[in-house]
Amino acid sequence: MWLVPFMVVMKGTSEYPLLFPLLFQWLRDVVKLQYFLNGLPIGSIYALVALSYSLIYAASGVLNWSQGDIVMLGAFIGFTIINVIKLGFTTGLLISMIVLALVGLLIQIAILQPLRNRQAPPINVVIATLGVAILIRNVALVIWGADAQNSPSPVSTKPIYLGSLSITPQDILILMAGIALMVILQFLLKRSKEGKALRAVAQDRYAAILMGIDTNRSDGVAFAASASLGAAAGMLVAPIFFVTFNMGALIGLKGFVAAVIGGLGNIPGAIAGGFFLGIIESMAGGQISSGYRDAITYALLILVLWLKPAGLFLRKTRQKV
Amino acid sequence: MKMMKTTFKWYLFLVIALVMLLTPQFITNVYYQHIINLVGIYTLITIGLNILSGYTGQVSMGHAGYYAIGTYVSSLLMLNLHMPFWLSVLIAVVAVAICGLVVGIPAMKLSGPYLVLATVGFGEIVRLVILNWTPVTKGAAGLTGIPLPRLFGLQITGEKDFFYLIFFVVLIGCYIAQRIARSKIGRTYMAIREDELAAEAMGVPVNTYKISAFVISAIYAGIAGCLFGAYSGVASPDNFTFDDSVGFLCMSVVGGNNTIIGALIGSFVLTILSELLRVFQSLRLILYGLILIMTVIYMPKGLAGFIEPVRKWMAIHMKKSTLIQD
Amino acid sequence: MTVMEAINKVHLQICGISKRFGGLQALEDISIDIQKNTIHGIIGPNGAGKTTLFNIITGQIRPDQGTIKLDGQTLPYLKPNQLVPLGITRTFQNIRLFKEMSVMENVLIGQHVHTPTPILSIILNGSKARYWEEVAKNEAENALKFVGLENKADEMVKNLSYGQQRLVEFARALAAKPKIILLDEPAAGMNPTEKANLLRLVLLLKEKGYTIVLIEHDMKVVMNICQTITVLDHGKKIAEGQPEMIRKHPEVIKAYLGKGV
Repeated sequence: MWLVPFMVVMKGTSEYPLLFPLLFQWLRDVVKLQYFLNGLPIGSIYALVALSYSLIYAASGVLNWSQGDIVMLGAFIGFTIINVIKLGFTTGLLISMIVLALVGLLIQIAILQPLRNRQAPPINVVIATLGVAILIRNVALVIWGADAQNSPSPVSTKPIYLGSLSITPQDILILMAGIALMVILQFLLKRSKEGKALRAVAQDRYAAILMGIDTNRSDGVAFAASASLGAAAGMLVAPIFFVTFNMGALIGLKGFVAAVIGGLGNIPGAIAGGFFLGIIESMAGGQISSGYRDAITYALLILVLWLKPAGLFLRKTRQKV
Repeated sequence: MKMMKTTFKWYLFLVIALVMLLTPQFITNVYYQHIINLVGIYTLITIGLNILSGYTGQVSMGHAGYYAIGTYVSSLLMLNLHMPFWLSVLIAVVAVAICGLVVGIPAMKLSGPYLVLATVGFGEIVRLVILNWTPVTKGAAGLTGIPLPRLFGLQITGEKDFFYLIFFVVLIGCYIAQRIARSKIGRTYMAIREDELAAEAMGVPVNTYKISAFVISAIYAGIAGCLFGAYSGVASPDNFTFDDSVGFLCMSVVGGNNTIIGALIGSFVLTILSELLRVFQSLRLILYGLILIMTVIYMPKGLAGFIEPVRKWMAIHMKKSTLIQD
Repeated sequence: MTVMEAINKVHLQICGISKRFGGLQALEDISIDIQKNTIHGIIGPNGAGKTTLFNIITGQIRPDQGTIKLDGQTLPYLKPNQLVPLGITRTFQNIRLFKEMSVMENVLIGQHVHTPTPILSIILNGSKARYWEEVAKNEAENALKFVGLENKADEMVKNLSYGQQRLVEFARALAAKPKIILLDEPAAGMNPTEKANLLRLVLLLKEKGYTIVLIEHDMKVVMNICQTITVLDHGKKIAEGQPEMIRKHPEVIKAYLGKGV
């Protein structure tokens, strides 16, 4: 069963024999199952962050570099609510998601709309969102200081043993919460009016405008939804990572990597990419070297991009002449 | 009239060059001299980025990687093999050019976010290798005691000497970049940026040109790295993070990435700005972020966008003066 | 005219080209002989595979089967930029110009393969670089003069009208000094005056010895200027011949007007 992600990769890559020795080496090792299990919770967090990138990219063609810092802000706001106001984890999560949705909307109105109105080149949009990232990071530094925050885990971290395998309830919670959020998002995209509009814009922005869809509104929805996904990811990742003002850069980058692996703008792809990255990381860290773990991830990534320039899970579209 | 215009340009250039040359005489504060030297080093990287992203349309968010390779290769050669400065720079340039080639080959198939990710990945790989390859790179502790350069029998010490060295290199760098940008090569780069497919249909070997842009821009960053290593005397992985790559890209865009002069303006303005904002202490980076956002929204062509109207005005003005002379 | 002479006059020979996109057979066993120094029209309803054929000839798409012969020699599958030096250039159906560049710069790109790139001389501003730049500029000016846009040379392309942009694309293709020019709907979106001007230019080129392959929807245009016409429908060649013959061909009438006519 756990071979499924690999099978997805292998499908249609028969022309790339380079990947096979590596894959077989991994498959052979039984110890892998534990690493695979360890990769799942972090994978679900990567998937959430990757979704937040992909959602905005699909809806508005923008690469939002402040996504990682939105994750950080979500974690800080949530834990402030839990620790200072003494509300429960679920309430904190919900409030944090709502507040961040407003922040996302604000970014769209204050920064993306003016850029769009001026038809700024894509690189300017990238720099503007980088500016937002710097802004959020340093606002957090001023408010919460440079120390790592104490982030209580909502459930026990004592591992449960299943034969030779072990998993903690906390990991199970993270995994379940992540999957639940993804299901809710899928449901909203498929069923709600805003979700349908968003998908229409993602398909063909120009045609959607002609059909009377307000693209500013759909952009706003995408930014709000992806920021609240980011907030949830922040709350869930907090027990694993330290919550610090500069945690955003790393988690943002990882989420971006996952989104690109899945094909940026592709929603199921982002989820698959997130889990894929989590598992690969866990395996590379356990098997090869923890110091070079990220370097290996990036090297694999460049290789993957070279072989499949539009991501693993996206079919290459031909440019019309 | 064409003659007249050229001579005027030369005078303008000479005056600016002279003023620049005398700067260390006016500005005697070592701290200020240090900032100016940093501006020079950043200018070199930004020129390379402008050729790559402004002209050819390939965005790189991993230039700190080339910068780091330049620094480490030249410094290690000087430290361990006691090579002279010029030779270590030469070898570092070759190393960096090869890295540019290695990244350029997968990058030629990529565009947009995918290209960004590949370059980010490269920058991170370089940093992580430096961090973990402790026997050679000394890991997180970094290199210390990088020897001061000796060139043509001159020992270079202190901020003032370095100012002249960096100034000289930046001058040559600007000149070469300007020549490339104004030539057939620059024109072809722009065509690739505008429409790759049409350029190929007109006979442009697109891949060769795209890779060459990567190599040129890597060489610029590499030379900047060599200068940085010799100048600061120390280097650690913290000098070459993703944030640094982003900072270089900001300089390129804020200055205006489709002119060479934009690189100079961008690195100057952002470096000085970041120093000036120090008085606001913890608010410094908040203001920096705000200014960055405002610039890209309200000055889409960067600060160099203001030069074009001035040049037009000058062209009209000079036409008048020639008419009077005639 | 002997048989040998007739064969010698064939310039570009398309032999049994097939191309499939997923479930769609875009082209099926297409063979066309294009004679030297003629205007060869390719017509057909939308989706007939005309542009796909152009893309295959100019190397943008690789065919599943079939070959292309230039002057009797079979060409290996080449990239578009490798076909330009052999004398094949094209224009695009939806204009593809370098929008943020001047008209002159656009046309200069067409000169790319005909001037060397002396890197050292460019850096040192040497006489060699300046000489070749001058040569390229002269060629580009000639091309611009031919289409009548010499006074727009320094204008930004994006500021020109649609018809003028089509002419710039035409000039850019000419600057590549081709033997065969493939024009993909060159008159689309032009007003009658612009159209007449373009036709004049195409006829002039034919007189100068160029071979022109033309995709066009305007029947009046095609019938008036083409020597030979090939009709494609659903990826198949349904007719080929002189305009008079095509006009009366039952298959062609059926393809254009539907069955039962």
